[in-house]
Amino acid sequence: MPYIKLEAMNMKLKNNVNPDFNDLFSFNSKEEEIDYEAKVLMFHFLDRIQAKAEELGLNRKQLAEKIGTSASYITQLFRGDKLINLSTIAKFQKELGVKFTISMKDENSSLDDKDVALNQLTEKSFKTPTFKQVRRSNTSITKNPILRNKNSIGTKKKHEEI
Amino acid sequence: MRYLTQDAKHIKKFRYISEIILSGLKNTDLYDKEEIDDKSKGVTAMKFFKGQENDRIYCKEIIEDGKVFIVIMAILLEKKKNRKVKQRERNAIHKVGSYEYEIEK
Repeated sequence: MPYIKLEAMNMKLKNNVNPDFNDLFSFNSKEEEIDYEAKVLMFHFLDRIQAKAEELGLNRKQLAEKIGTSASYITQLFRGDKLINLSTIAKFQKELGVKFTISMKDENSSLDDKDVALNQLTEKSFKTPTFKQVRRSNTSITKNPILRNKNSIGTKKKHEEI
Repeated sequence: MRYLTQDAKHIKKFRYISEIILSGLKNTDLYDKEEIDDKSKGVTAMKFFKGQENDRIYCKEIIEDGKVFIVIMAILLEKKKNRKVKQRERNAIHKVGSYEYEIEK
């Protein structure tokens, strides 16, 4: 049974919209969906590449020359007729002087992995320390044997034992 | 709709264009402004098979409250063969440019 993927089209269609419209976003196979997802990923890379090329004043031919390919190959990528490979992306990175960064998120989450990591870090940072922990940290600052005598191996060892 | 569903390659292309529009990506090979003059403000074109059949669906972009972005497919123009805008295309673009839509909330 075909399943509908309306990730970008996160909208409710009204009753008077042609029901065939839904079929346009139904995939007949997993392969078809994977091919679509791959092209979508590529379009995200190309959007950034195009923006940088414009910033540098490069036309398509010049852009192609920079990475040692033809303008028509780049056009085929932009039209979704061919799929970019990671080596080509690496060449764009090198020649345009940019770095792509990667983030990831759970399908149903609005937060990406960096947001999640940051939230966890913030939660840890603001965790109220227990009384015992406070005493220990005070001890290490005021009575730190290393601070008293940095070169003394004996005191350092003593500190490690603490 | 018959145009879009005629075969797999048209469906595929339409999906790419939709994704590009809805994700706010720039890809002038697939979707671009078609504002040829003052009468065509907000007119854009979905470009199917540029360099081959070069069919286009002219659309109108509407900005609501300065942020909500809506694209309405309006006119299908098959086989745009010239780089210059011919009268037939000019008429179609002007027609789409003149359309007014009221968004129900």
